Amino acid sequence: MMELLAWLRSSVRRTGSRLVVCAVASVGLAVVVGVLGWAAADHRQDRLDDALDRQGQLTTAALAVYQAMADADTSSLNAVIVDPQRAVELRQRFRADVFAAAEALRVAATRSQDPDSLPTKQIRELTGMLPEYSRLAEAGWTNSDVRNPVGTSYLSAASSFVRIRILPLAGDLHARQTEALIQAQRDAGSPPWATFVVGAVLVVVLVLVQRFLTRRTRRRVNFGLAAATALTLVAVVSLGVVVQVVHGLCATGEREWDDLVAPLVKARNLAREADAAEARILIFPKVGDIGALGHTLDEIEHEIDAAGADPTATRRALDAVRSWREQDRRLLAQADPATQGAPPVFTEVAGMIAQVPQGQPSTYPQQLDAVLNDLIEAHSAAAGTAVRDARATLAHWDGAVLLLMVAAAAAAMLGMRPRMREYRQ
Amino acid sequence: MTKLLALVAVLVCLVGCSGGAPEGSDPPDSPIALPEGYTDKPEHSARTECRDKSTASVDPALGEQSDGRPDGPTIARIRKEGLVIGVSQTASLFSKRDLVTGELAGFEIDLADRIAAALFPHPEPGKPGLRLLGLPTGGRLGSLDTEQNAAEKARNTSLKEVPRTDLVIADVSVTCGRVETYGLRYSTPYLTTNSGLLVRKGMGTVSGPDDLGGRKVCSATRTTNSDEMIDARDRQRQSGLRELVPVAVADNSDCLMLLQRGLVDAIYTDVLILQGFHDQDPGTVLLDYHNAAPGEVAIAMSGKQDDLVRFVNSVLRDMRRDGSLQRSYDTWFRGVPQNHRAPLPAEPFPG
Repeated sequence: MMELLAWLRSSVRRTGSRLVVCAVASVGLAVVVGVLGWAAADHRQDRLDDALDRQGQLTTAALAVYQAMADADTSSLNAVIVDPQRAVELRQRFRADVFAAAEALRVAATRSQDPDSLPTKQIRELTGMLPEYSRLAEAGWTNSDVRNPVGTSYLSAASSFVRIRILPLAGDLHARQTEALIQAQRDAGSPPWATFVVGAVLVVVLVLVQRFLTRRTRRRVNFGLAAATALTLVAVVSLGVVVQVVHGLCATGEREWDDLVAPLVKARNLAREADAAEARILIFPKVGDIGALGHTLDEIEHEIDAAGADPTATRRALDAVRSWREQDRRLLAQADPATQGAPPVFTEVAGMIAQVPQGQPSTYPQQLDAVLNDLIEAHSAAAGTAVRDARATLAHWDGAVLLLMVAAAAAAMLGMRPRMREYRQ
Repeated sequence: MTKLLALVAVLVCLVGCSGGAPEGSDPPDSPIALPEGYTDKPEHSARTECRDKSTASVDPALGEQSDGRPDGPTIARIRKEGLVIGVSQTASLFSKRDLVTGELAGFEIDLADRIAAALFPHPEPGKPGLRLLGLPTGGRLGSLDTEQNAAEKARNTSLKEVPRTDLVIADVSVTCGRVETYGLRYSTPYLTTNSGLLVRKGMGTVSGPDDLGGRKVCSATRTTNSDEMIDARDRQRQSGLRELVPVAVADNSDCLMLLQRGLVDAIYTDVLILQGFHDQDPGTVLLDYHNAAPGEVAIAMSGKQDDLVRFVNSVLRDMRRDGSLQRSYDTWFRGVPQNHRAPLPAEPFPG
């Protein structure tokens, strides 16, 4: 053992051996930096692909399920308080909504492949609920058609099934997918610290080797080592710059999701719930429903305000909510004894809910829905564009970094090889 | 050797990489949507001992009179502001709404129309008249203008939205507990009813609660009917019989939905309501069984509006005298089997 240490000490003291150690360290570190840089870029590309493809589609599908089922709830209830012609249209819309939800779940199922993952379980659970829901609504209509009051019980059970079980589950699925989507974008924009650290160590090693050679050989510059240093700096710095650009784009995408799409989606979902709540108040009123409707309208306004989307569209959305509230004024006034006037009777409330106001193209909830849908679509597209741009920015950088570092390793080796030969002789 | 290793590797991958789909794709249990408020562990409603005559009504002949009818401040206010009556929307035969036209029809709507006609003998267009309101579940008797209801609204803010009504005509059973809880006063009773059992056809030899061991029996929450089924279960338990399973829902009509879906086996409630259920679903059978003690149904009003109570009683007295109450009963409840029909209550204040 002692002999081995003595041999090592004497070897290291020899310049030739030191040069070999320097060459191995430089080349080895260059390869490590190359592999780390390649892995960092590749991982970020994967995360962006994930955000764009699987997560993006799963998030969209989860949102589609929520929207379709909230719409179905409204249609199922409105279908029994309008004339037979409009009832047929609403029932067709209901069936289309349930089909859309089933289709969105099918898409989501193909994107969520791990059978034991929570999203897969949630998708399976939601899929299982649709037949029961449809059966209840259809039975409700059939009975209501022949003026059987039990139809109301079926519709009430269907509505509470949607509100208490389906929508919260769909909402949770959407929230989790949005969270995963945002996390994927954050991962893609995170700095590749390991590459930076090992790259910096490599640059220091190359500079020290350069100094060592300058002292021993009296040659001022070893061009191989200089080229290796430059290539390392180019690889590491450019990777850092690219990831920073990706970070900026992902932050834009995240802002679109978090600050715009999320509150707009919430406002839209609340609006659909409020629309269905009006019909419930009419068909099977429960204590607390009117107060809850007033709070929901307040919350919708707050979410639209908080989103701070395009001012023109925001104003149109807020106008629709305020007109809706004004239309329901007499109903909402019942929530407070101080403002209670003569309570509106069935036909008056039905008029508030189902009739298109004079001079308006559609009901206020429909107008609000249209504005919010346009905004959600536009901002979801903007978020998608930001992520696509980020992915395009990062394209091929895995290979480029690896190539640069292989070139750096080769340059270091080429630069040191003549010196090592000299000292071996 | 290399080929063998490759084959083993492929087989290992096929087994290991298949993702275990069979375990993960087990079909989930079929979900069942139950109505809000459903419980298979119903609780007994609060028992209130009746104080002397606490459910008794008021003689219409007493107090202030005008044009041969009782009069007073409440009557004056109603004639000025309109009459608001809380009714059910889903009680077939009693009060049922056509959801498209909004029109209500039934035995109790006949009563409401008659009271309104007496209050507004010469209705003028544009002037407040009769307003029939479908009341929210859980807030039916809370809509009356009483001190107890005002105190409850102060405690529970969600009750504030329960609209104020002058009368509630919604198959309200006469009980002391409601007088105590809501501070209401009843009119003279307009119906005598029994509670009975409705089952699906082909259920076998079921003649009463003791034949329903192990089966679910549905009633509305915290009603005398639900209490009776809880008592029947307890009695069966003590006697070592197989117990029935009482379940309760917020609205009687939910029981019919559950019966049709096979989620309960019988409904126990007022036979006149059960007849309405049977009319909606001929696949059901109204059993001959009914409870021993018939109950009475009356119009509920605020306990502090004696003039209104007297006015309503005067209208009911007129309806008994001219036979219109009996005619309306015969019209709406003509399908009720004779053994379930109880004579209409006699006029307690013949005058």
